[in-house]
Amino acid sequence: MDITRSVELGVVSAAAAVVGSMLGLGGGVFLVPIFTLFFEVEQKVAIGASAVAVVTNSVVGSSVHLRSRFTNLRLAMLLQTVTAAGATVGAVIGVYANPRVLYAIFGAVLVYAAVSMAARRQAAPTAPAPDVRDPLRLGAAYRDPATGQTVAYVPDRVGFGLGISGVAGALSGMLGIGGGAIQVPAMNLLMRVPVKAAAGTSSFMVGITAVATALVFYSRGEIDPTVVVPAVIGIFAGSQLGSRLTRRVRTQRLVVVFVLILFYLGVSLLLRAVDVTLPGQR
Amino acid sequence: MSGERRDPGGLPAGAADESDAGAAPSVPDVFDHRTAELAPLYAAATATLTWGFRLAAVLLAAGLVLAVVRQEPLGREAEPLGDILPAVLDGKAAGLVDVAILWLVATPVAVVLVVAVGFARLGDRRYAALSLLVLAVLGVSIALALTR
Repeated sequence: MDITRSVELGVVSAAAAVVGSMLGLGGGVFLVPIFTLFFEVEQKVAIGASAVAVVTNSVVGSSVHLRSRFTNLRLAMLLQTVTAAGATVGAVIGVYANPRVLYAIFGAVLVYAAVSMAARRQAAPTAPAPDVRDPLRLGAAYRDPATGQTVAYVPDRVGFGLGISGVAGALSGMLGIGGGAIQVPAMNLLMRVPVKAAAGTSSFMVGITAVATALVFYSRGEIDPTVVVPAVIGIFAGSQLGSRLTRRVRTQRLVVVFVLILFYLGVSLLLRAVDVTLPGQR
Repeated sequence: MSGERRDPGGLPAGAADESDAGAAPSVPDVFDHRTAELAPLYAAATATLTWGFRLAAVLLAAGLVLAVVRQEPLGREAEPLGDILPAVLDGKAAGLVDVAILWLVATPVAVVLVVAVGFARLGDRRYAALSLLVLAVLGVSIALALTR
């Protein structure tokens, strides 16, 4: 085991997790670009390592959301049927796909994530109408610690949510990311799920989604412990630090810098898809 | 329907009429009660995640300590399942690390099973069935991993 390389991978994973938790993305989106562009980790190995790191992040992070009741278990299980199927199909495609195609898709996803982060729209929670119908019993409530109020909601446009979950799952499977960057805004803006419930439900779901990716990549021998272990330890340590920093530090200005990093990585991957390597990259 | 809280679809009539709180619960109350009903599920899922992670962390730490002490390199590829158990029985660090990784990956699968059982115990057959459907979908990738 090359200790220096492992430490480097662990440190950049931790940094990715710190940035990820400040952006509310989880850090997985940074691992594959950084590992492949700067550390010459083979693309499929990087995706496998990222998937295991996403599982770790979800296993640790979703416990907190479950205790706070932010996670809507019924909504999670309903959407997960489609997300898991999408992830399985996506992972099978990803494990055989031409690396250039994956670079192009990953680059487009990162540019989209950067643009949507820059816009950062958020739907204000609205109380359900007294005569609201909830045939799927998806309505739920949680106490918001910030206001001390109970927030009740009924997810809207569930069919739309299922469609987007399928797409998020497929991308997640192909690229080894959690998919929260797509699912949280979709749940919040389209399904009118309050952002804390959307984040809690997504955090729970991404771990299950990434299992499909990790196992498919394991079945093809793409899980490399010398990459996975530093990634997992780094992501765990970084997300702990990131969530503490987010509570204590005013992150608004930092978010602009992080969005630019996301944009730079997205453009780098798009260029890598056409064999262009930017200075400083390998 | 006054005081009825187990709603199959729509909410109880006048659910949001807080001026008549004695007659019917408010909308937040109904959903609050619905979330409270799931308390055993939340507790079981949290416990499964917590203990799944702790065990994986212990296995990983043991594997890494062993690797450092014995100057044993980790494999560049997690071994097929059939080869991992013999490696662990031989006391190989790489075997322990592989088990830790797979244990971590198995934890969310266990949570889905726990949630399915929890919904079934609460008599919520629809969501028990959906949770089992998620498990069945994951079964495809599990089968691929097992047949490697």
